[in-house]
Amino acid sequence: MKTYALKRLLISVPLVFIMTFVVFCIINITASKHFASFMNDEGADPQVIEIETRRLHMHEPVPVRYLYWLQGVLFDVRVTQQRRYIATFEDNDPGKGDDRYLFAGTVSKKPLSSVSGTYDVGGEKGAPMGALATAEGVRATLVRRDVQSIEFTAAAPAPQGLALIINAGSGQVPYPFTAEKDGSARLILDLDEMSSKAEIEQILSIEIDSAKPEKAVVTAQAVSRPIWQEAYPGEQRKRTIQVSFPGTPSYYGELGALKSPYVSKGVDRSDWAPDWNAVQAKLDEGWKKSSKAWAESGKRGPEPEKALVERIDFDRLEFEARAVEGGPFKAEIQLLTGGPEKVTPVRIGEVELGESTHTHIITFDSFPKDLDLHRVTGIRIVSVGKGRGEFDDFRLRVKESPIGCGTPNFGESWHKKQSVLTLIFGKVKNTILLTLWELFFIWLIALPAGVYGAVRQYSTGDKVISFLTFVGMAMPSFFLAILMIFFVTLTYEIPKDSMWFWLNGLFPIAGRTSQNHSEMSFGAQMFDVARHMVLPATVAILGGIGGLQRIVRATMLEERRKLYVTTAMAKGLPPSKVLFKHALRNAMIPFVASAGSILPGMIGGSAFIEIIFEYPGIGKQMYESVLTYDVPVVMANTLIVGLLLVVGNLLADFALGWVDPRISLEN
Amino acid sequence: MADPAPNAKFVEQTTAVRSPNQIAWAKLKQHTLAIYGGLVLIVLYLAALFADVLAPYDFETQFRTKPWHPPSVIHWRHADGTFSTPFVYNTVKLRDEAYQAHFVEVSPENMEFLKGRIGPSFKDQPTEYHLKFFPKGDPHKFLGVIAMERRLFGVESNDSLNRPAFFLLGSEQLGRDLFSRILYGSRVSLSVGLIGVVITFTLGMTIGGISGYFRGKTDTVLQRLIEMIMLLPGFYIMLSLRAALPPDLGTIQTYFAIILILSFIGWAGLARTTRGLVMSISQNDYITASRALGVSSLSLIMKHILPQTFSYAVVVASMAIPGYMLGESGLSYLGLGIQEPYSSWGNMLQAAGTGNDIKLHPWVLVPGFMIFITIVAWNFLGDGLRDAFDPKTILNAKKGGA
Repeated sequence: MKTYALKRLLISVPLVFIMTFVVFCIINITASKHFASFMNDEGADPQVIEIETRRLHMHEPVPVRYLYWLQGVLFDVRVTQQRRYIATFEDNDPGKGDDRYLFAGTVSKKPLSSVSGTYDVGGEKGAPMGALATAEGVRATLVRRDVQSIEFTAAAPAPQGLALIINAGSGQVPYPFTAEKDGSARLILDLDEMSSKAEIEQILSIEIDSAKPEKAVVTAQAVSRPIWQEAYPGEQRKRTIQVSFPGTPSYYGELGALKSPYVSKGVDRSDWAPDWNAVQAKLDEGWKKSSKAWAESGKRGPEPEKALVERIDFDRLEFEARAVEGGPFKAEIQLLTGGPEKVTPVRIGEVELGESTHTHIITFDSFPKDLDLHRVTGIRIVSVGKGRGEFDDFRLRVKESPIGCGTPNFGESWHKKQSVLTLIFGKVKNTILLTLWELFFIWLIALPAGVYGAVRQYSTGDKVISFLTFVGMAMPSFFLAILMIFFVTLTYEIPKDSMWFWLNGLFPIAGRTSQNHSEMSFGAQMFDVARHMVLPATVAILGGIGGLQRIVRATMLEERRKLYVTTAMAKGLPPSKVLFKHALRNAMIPFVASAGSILPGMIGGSAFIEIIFEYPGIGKQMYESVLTYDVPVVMANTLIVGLLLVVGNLLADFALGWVDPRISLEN
Repeated sequence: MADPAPNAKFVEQTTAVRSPNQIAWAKLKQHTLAIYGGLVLIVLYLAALFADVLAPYDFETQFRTKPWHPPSVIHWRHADGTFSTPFVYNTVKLRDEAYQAHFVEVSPENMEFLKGRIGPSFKDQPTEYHLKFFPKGDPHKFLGVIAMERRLFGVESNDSLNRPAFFLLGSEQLGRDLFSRILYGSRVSLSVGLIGVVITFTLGMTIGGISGYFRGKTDTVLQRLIEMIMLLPGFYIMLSLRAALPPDLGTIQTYFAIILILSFIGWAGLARTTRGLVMSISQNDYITASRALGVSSLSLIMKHILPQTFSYAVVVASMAIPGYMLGESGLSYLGLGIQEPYSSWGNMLQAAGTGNDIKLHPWVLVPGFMIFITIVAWNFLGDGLRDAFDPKTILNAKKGGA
């Protein structure tokens, strides 16, 4: 039994992967073309397209891309919720509205040559662009994509001349201004107004030049115009940072402050290096106040809940990096701790940057023991040699619970901009739930109906059942679904005083839950899900019963003709015993054998039903993502369905061996 | 059948030995439902072949003033009550208080009602438009060759403003005749199965035959290939393949693309069964004998093995055709198959989008029933063929429905 299962798996699982390769090739025939137009639709500039192309390996040939996908699935095992805890660069100024991004640069005391970086501004809400520092001057570069205006404030120990230089396609446009001691100097660049001076779409970078190698603090706030947020509300895009290391020894770029590593309910997020006890005390204070107010108001509205600070323990830092120029070379990663006044860099590791993007992981085991991770405010990258590196997607990973491990990384949906796994996990669950119910009812009805048809051959009942099964087999599932929807629409007209009024709207024609599902009690929720499933399941059941009933009836008839049945009858066994104990068991064999093919058929067949009834299952998801060329989702879907089929067939084989002892699985 | 006459021995001696095919035909004739199924199919396929002449209008002809027109009422009596050849009245579209559209016949008894309700542009007087055989209609090419203007039946009129029409099954959204579109659509929906099965069979029988006859490594490789194809979730492959094709494909290309896709999914199962059959046949002594006599593999396969699998093939073919029809109509229903303005039974069902659509114009369901009837007919015929070619069924056994 075990060897058989192993053998079967050894054959089937590679077949599943060959199959995914076939699907990958097919879907990629037009997906590449579609990818470019899809990126253009979002109004992305060529640089972003270039970055995305490289990130998704769209410049590679299809087989190489498949290998990347396979690598993600097989080896890049991550926790499901990893992305929820990505440590991002923090918005230090939460009071000033949500659409502001912070850009802070400090002049370092170290004698270093210039450092420049490229920032993709369209980051997540509250993500600043980071900081870069040089001895001679601050030189930071913004890639314009969806930034509307940029505000600069500058402060210096003594008045200091700074120049803002816009590098546009048509040349450089300088904006000189002076940094004052109190930081009152302010420069607002409205990029729309600027378009008369410089070709706005062609702005390559903005640089800040300082004349003197003295400390000046320049703060820039880029107010973004969230173009993509309108198109895809609530979705996030990744930020890409390029840090370049020109010149001679030891250069560094600082990547700004990390988001406070805690999740809290109602706590002030600007508290960026929290003393946990203090935060909890502050929360408790607020809770006491609000519950007092609630009691005084005569207990109106919901009772305030006590908030608890939830600490999250990180155990590793992950990021993607590659050498853009001068690679391969080494870069040292430092964590910055302490407040804005005194920054202490702590070396945590060294990475070697190669030509292609790699995910680098630095586990916290290698960290200094005295490092308080909750006081980490930034990451600094110091290169040992000359070169230009691209760093992407810095994230602190949550300490995993062992249960969360082992989930393959299917990547990110191109369209929905979220993890494929979270996207389809619920869909797979829904489909399996629906399919199991369908199977249960099909067997429950088809088996007795088939036996009845064989026992009472050519009786009126048999003829009626035969007629119905022929109807069920010949009815296209989508046509049956149309008719069902029609009949349900008819129930909408049942008047209130009729005794059939309870039927009115009982069976919803679309969806899986009602809109107010989350407000229901548990029992009501169960009923809600069940009544949504009635129509799709009925269509599938009516289609499925037919074929199975015919098989049972035919084999049962065949068995009845056999001599052992005659012998048993002649011996005087009661007919019911002969039928159900002897004949039925033998008649079950092809029935169970067909069960293996039922599962694939049901998954494919229920796709139509899911689409028509808008049931959020894997078939509907597949349909939608195939039409939008969402390659990662299609691939994940194919793999999961393929594995489901393998498992289904294997189970059917075991069941067959159990029903029919003559079948030996060993050979 | 043959009654046991006293000279039965004599009869038995003189009766010619019947070939297996003759026996099968005799068995099939006893299977009433299969015969009915076959007759229905003959009618349907002939109708598809002669759709040009049978359809009163072209599939593209639009009656802009008559969208969602219910089936025309055929009158047999004149206004004075005397009998006449069948005729229809022209209709005008009116809206009631709830702005619901409905059609009113321009007949003598309705003139009072219509007065003041139809605009001055309609100068319609009650006219009887008689149904004629071979009236002048939309030009077409009979059987794709002979240019003709005549259709089998219909009404003739030259009005351009509110052109009277004869809708046997009503009209759809753009005022195109549903009956005509069903006839033209049947060409697609009915032929997909036939062509698909031919392709599947060529592939399946060849590969299955090779696999079963040569065995060894060839067999192993082909079996893995077949297993892989069988493992592919058909619907998904169908979707991916269709999505991989450019969306602006012409109708003919789409049609053949669909057939190829469906055959690509379908051949593996057949190949596997053929392999089993060929394996068991080639174990027979007469095969060994002919091999020993030096008969070449090719002629062995062609002369001795394949003919034996043929009856099985016919049965499976008739059982497989409904699958192709369902595949095509399903794809077309989802908007991935045959595109407007061309019709197939699947894409015509798109008009039945919501329950309300069906309630207001129930005739849009007719294509669905056409699919249903055709598949039932194929199933009945397949059932009969299976019984007929099955040596276990006894010729004279009392065999009822199904």
